[in-house]
Amino acid sequence: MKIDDEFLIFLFSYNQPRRPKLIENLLAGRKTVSTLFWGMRYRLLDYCGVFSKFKEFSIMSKVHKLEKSGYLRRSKDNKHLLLTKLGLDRQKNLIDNYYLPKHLDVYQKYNVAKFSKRFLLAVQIVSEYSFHNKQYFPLQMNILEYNLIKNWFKNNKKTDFILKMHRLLYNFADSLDNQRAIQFATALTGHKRIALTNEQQKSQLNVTSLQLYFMQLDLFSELIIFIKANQDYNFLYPLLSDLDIQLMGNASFDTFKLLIKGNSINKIAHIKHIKTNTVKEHLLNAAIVLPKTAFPYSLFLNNETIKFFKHNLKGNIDEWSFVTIKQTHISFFGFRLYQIFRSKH
Amino acid sequence: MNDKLKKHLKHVLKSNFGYEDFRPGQLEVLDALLKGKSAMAILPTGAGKTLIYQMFGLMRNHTILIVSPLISLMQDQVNRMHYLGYKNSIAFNSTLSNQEKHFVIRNIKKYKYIYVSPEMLSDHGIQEIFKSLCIDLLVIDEAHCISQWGLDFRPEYLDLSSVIRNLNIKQVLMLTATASKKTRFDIVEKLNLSPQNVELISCSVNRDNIFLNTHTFSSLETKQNYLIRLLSVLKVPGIIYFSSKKVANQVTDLIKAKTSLNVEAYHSGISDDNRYRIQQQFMNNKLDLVCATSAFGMGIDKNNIRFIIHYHLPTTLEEYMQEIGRAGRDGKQSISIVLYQDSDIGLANKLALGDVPSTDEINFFFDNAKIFAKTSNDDEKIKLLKYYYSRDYSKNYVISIFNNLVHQKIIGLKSLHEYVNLQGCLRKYLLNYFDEQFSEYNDKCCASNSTVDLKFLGLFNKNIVKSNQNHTNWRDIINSLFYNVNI
Ligand SMILES: [Zn+2]
Repeated sequence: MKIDDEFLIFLFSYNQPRRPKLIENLLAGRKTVSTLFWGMRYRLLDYCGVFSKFKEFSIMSKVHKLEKSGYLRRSKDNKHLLLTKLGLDRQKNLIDNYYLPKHLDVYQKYNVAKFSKRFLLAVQIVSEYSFHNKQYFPLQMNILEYNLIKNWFKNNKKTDFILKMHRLLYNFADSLDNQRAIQFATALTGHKRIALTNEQQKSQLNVTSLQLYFMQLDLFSELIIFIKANQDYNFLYPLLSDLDIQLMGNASFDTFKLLIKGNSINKIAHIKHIKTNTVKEHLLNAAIVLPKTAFPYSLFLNNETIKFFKHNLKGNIDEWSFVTIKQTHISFFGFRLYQIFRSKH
Repeated sequence: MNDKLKKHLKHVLKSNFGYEDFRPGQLEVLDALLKGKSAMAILPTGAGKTLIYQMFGLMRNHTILIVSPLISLMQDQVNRMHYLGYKNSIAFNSTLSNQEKHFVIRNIKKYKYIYVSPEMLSDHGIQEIFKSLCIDLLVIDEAHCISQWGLDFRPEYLDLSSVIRNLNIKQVLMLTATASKKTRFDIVEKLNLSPQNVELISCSVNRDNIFLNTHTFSSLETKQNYLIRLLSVLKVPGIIYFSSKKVANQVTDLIKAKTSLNVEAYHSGISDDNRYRIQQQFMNNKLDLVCATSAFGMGIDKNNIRFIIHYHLPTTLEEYMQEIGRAGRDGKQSISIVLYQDSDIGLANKLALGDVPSTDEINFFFDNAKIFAKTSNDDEKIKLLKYYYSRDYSKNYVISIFNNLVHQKIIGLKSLHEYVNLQGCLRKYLLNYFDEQFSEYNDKCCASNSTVDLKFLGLFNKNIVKSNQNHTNWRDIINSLFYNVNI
């Protein structure tokens, strides 16, 4: 997949220095504390892992090109980049002319690509079934996923699911504007009908590969929401199974669940056979991705500590340094947690 | 074969596949297999080789194991089996996830037709699993790969003889479209089969409904211009073969810009989903033309392909025969056109010889084999050398193998070069190459380095109007997906 310059422009800021390597790690979905923390600070956390499926993905050479063309400049420490005035103007110009993802929050909750594959096969099977045709080439997919759809089909074929499927497709397309409804309809494969290839869709919509990628994810994100919102479509709920994604990472989620049950850091380390430092990293990940009220900050930050931090750490949160308080009894864990806490104001 | 058996087989053919009669060679191969023998079937592309083992499988209770060299082709074959109603077929290869592999292994006895890659079959763990099966027949698809590629890219093919021994396989069916006498002998020898137990069934590789044409150019520009002019009058559908993905993409864009044809590029850089769509659109006549690398078209069974154009040279005449064999399966007049530019031979050379390690490289590898043993993510050459090293081949032996291979490849390239520069009868040259005689030249035979009278061949088609496959009304599309349902 070719990453557009236009897209990269949106990942940088005129005011906040950002590290390109960190943004790259975030897009690739490498979920370390530092990646997630800075992803949150950059307000790019929702982009976490959007390109995790792309092989050999890198933005660095493109970023250098943008720097050379005068859209980005180095910060004083030489490690961070900022938009120049030229870059900022370009960003403003692009807002109405470049397709940016609309449902990043849904991508963070569900494996949308997996769902879309399932859904498209389901449509094909129902379509061919309605024509009583058994001789066709089913869409290709993982054997286990294929079996899931096959079982779904077996459980439903005695019902009026042809009508229901038709109604869903129709109503969903009807909820979209005309161009997106066409995009949705031409992505379907069924009896005597084959979906357009990406190249064909690109020329039909006059967009780049990356824009098309986001458009497709958005369409199917909306479809998930659409199906979930209406009990009439509950015959499709089996297609929604096992799609959940944990933005904080599965290991962090397990640790967090143990914490909520009342276990201490040491106890969790013991239960999971991991180091206490790893437990702390997991908890920081959880704090970063969860809303402020969902994480029990008070377990680790008492009033006294908060008072201490307030006194010693001032100004831009990005620029706080652990070194300034290192001589005290405060751990890095406490420092980072407070940074997260304050970021959520 | 007695008449009673023949009648029975015809009945099986009719009731399972709907055909009235066998195609040349099919019955003879089945006869050999039913007698309990192994068989080598050299039948041209499109002669219905798959049907032979499908049908044999119907008459036996146990597993049919099919070794297939190209993973993309394997999935195509399984899809075709499913399409024909053989749902108990599976492609077992490295594209499966671990979860999928476990699923397949757990259910291995439920599959009747198991397609497997040579790498997978070389794995001792996998062989143990297959030992629990009773294998009625081992099918080696593209059997010439044992000789042509076995040394080159697929050392695992050389393991097949030990697979046959380990799995206690009694019958082997070797399938190929082209194999010279030397290659045939080589295949039987490499598999360690006893020659008197192998029946050879071969049909002529000649496809007389495919007109052969070559055309040489002095520059890229004249070649491209000629291609565009040609496409504006040539009857579709067709395939253009390339040896470079990049050029395939570029020419696709050029054709889109300069003609009204529906065309798509197809190669390993295209995602699986899109490859599916391109294949199906092409099968359903929604695409006029596909610009492809050699992987395209092997697994699909499309009868009405009217032309095969080679924009780049294949690496051997065997490959060329296989590729043009995809045209005219309906028996109607079709054409093969090679567009040749002198610099193309360099590309073919590079492709053919690029993966063969040189004597220096082999020396270096063997002198440092212990260090190489620790590396992973090796390129093809290193993988190949590691394979020989692990099998305890001596350095000098390996050097002699590769010197011989280079020699063979250079001879192959020389024939190819002669073919595209030939001034005489192309068909005669080709058939001689495959140890066949030919003297029935007629005016629908060939044209070397000259233009072709497409009208005379019935392949002229001036007014190509872009077929509009895209409904622009989403309601029509959605309604058309279901029988008798409308809102
Ligand atoms: Zn001739």
